[in-house]
Amino acid sequence: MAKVTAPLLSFGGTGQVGKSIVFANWRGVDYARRYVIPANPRTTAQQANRTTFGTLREMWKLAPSLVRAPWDLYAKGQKFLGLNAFQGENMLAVAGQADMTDFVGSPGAKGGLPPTTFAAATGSSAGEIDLSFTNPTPPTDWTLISAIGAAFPDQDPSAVFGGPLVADEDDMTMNAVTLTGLGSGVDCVAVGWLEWQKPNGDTAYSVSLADTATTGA
Amino acid sequence: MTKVLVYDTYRGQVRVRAWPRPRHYKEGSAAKLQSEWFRSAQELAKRLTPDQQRILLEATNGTPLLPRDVAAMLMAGRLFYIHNPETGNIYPMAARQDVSESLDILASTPGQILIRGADFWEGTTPSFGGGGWFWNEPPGVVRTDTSTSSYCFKGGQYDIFDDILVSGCGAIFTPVGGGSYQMIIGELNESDEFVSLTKSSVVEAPDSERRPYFFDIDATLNAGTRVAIMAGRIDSTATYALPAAFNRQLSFQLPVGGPYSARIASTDPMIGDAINTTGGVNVIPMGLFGQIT
Repeated sequence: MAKVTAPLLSFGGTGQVGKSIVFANWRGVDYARRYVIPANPRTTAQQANRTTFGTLREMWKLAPSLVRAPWDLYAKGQKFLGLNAFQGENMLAVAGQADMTDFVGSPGAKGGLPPTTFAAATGSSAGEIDLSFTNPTPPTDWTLISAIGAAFPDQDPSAVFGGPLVADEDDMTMNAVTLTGLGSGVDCVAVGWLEWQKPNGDTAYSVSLADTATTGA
Repeated sequence: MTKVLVYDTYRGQVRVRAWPRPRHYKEGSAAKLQSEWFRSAQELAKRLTPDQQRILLEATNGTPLLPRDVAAMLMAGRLFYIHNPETGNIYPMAARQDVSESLDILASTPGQILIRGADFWEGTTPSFGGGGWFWNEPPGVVRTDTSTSSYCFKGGQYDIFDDILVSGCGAIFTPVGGGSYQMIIGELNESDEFVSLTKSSVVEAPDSERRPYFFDIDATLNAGTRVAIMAGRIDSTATYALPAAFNRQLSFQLPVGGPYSARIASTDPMIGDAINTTGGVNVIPMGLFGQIT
């Protein structure tokens, strides 16, 4: 595959030519490649990967704005979307695994500091889990805005996503988030990260830390 | 215009040129490894503890460096050192190797030492194979004076703690141009008399510049003895240019104790001669080249 600057001596071009070459455009990048009919062997591994890809796509569609925000900031100014980064990072993390305990909730954007510790525990009510954060000393002129947590029922990544994916934030004490609506007695994967304001006013997100817990029964 | 024309300034002149063609090349395995290491280092930098990240943030605040740049330097082993209040700083091997490779530009033969020459630092030309140089660290007295008395050999007394096979010696002094100089190493008895004496080769000073002078000598220093190591002029008793100034003396750990003053008023010292030990002055930087056995 090759990037092209003036496909077919024009300002732009897409489509296949003579079943031999294909011109296309991806996120503003013109490229040309050989015309290929994929082999598509539909092996077990290939199908599992495809399902995992679809599961992550479904998670993104169901993700609240709190979950999407760090990915969108990470992708800002890049030739990919937050969705692409979300799927890419999490495919590397969970593809081929038996569960989703390696799920990445936040990739980190603009250099935010992560929590010192993060823990998930069974909530006091049915379908609840409690997330607790220990936060670091802020750098000079940095302000901690909120602690954000998200959770979903743990599952095989190569299975269709059962949901839900819930998230909430604590912008008062920045150290405790309670998530509800996850179903009673369900093993869940929980992730947490911090939102900061930098001295120049920019927002920064930390990478996420992960834990597992069973919801209240 | 994106990917069509480039507007820039070259040597103060505005110019317009076509977008440069990409120069594709096949990345070698070493480059791929380096790229993968760098990518992993950047990812790992985001996952340092928050305290570490805060330290990096504040360290790079106001500088062109990013915290992740400094983190990458840390991971490459080139930034940090461990401070021990008793023994000093312990630097990583990577940093030591970098500095060593830089110094190899000046001196790369095992056993060489660096000396500040007239124009720049240079490595000595070793006359001997193997072993290492030891230079004394003089006591607190710092004197600069030329001799006004008839002690043509001057140096110091040293207590020997380890057996040393000496194959060379040196001293830093300001000679009289054209004078012939020699060093002597002799074991002393309790009466400060020589019980053994070895004399080095003779070196003629080309000028009156202060510099290190090196002499060939074969001597054995025995542990538990006291020796006198002196340098002197052998072709005249009338004028002397020793001792030399203390500044710029080299100070390695010498496996000897002392020095105490040693001088002798003879151009040809012999076994049985006694040295003068008027102390505290006239101690000049001296060194030995040899091996501890």
